[in-house]
Amino acid sequence: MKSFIKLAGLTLVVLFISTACDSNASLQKYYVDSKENNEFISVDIPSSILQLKDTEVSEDIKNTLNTIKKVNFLALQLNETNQELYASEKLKVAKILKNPKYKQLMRMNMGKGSVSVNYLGEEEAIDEVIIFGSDNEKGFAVVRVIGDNMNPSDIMKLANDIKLDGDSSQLKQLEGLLSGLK
Amino acid sequence: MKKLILIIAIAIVSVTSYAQSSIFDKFEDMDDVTTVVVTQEAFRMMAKFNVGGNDEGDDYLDMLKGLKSFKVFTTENPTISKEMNNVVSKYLKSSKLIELMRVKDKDANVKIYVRQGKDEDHVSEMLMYVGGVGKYMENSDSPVKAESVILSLTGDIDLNKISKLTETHIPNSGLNKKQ
Repeated sequence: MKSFIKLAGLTLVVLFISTACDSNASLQKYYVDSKENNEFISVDIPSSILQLKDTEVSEDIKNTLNTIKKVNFLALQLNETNQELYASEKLKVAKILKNPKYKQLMRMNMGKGSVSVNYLGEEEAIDEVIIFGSDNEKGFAVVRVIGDNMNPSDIMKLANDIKLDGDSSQLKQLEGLLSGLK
Repeated sequence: MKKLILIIAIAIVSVTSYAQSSIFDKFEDMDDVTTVVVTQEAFRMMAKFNVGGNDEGDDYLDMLKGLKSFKVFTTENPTISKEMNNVVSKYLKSSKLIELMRVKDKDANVKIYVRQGKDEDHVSEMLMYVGGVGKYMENSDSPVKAESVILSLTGDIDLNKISKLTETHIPNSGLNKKQ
């Protein structure tokens, strides 16, 4: 009896440790690691790009903008040579996102392609919004909007008012990438 | 001894992640099926942060707060459509869903079922099934491809609020509760 209790206790401890260790596999780590890999395209966009042309901007909007720190864009474009990489990396990302700390909002699956939107943080204070899209013919991309206590409805309101700073070199770089992906 | 095994079993079950699974989930992995899933987290967020100030306001919010999951499965593949039909029929036979309304026209067959919720005005589940594939098989030059759709909405759904909202968007949809 005693040895059974010991065994059960040990099992529980092992289970607990394995789930705790798993939570360290984060998208942030994956992003940093993947940047090193030449097959990936990665772009970091700081929030300074989201400048409003009008100077008559309300305090609310300014405050909301301040909650967005930056946007990460990571993509793996599918070509003749990296089929296996695409499959294994896509699985890696999906596995990371399965971690309960990434709460799923919605997902859409169209056979060949899929999109999922998840977030990290609390309902009232979102730290990260993650959009993961994949297309078996084109590749996959992960977009992370990183901030501090982001409030989704404020951000939506902002999206309506926003005028991107069109002269920024980073935006041009992003545009170049996106048109290359198409 | 038995108690110990039971406790351990419960502990293991609670450690593994719990997801809202339904009998229709198997369609999600099929290639010719388009799936859309919106989770409870999303509804809670939408309700907390009312996006855009529309007139529907409070009703909309209250309704969103109660929703648990929203799943839509669509296919144009005739084999999968037949399977959808079978799964829906089996599900209806075994569950306490009752037919709320049905619409039939030359394009499709729409049926809506609900499961009674906490009271007369609420339903805990709404299932909409559109069976349309097959009607166009003979007529191959028809540009419209018929689809089969399974739409499942679960949660605390207030029928009155739903009918109010659908009336705004789709006049005379006839979804008003039978008085």
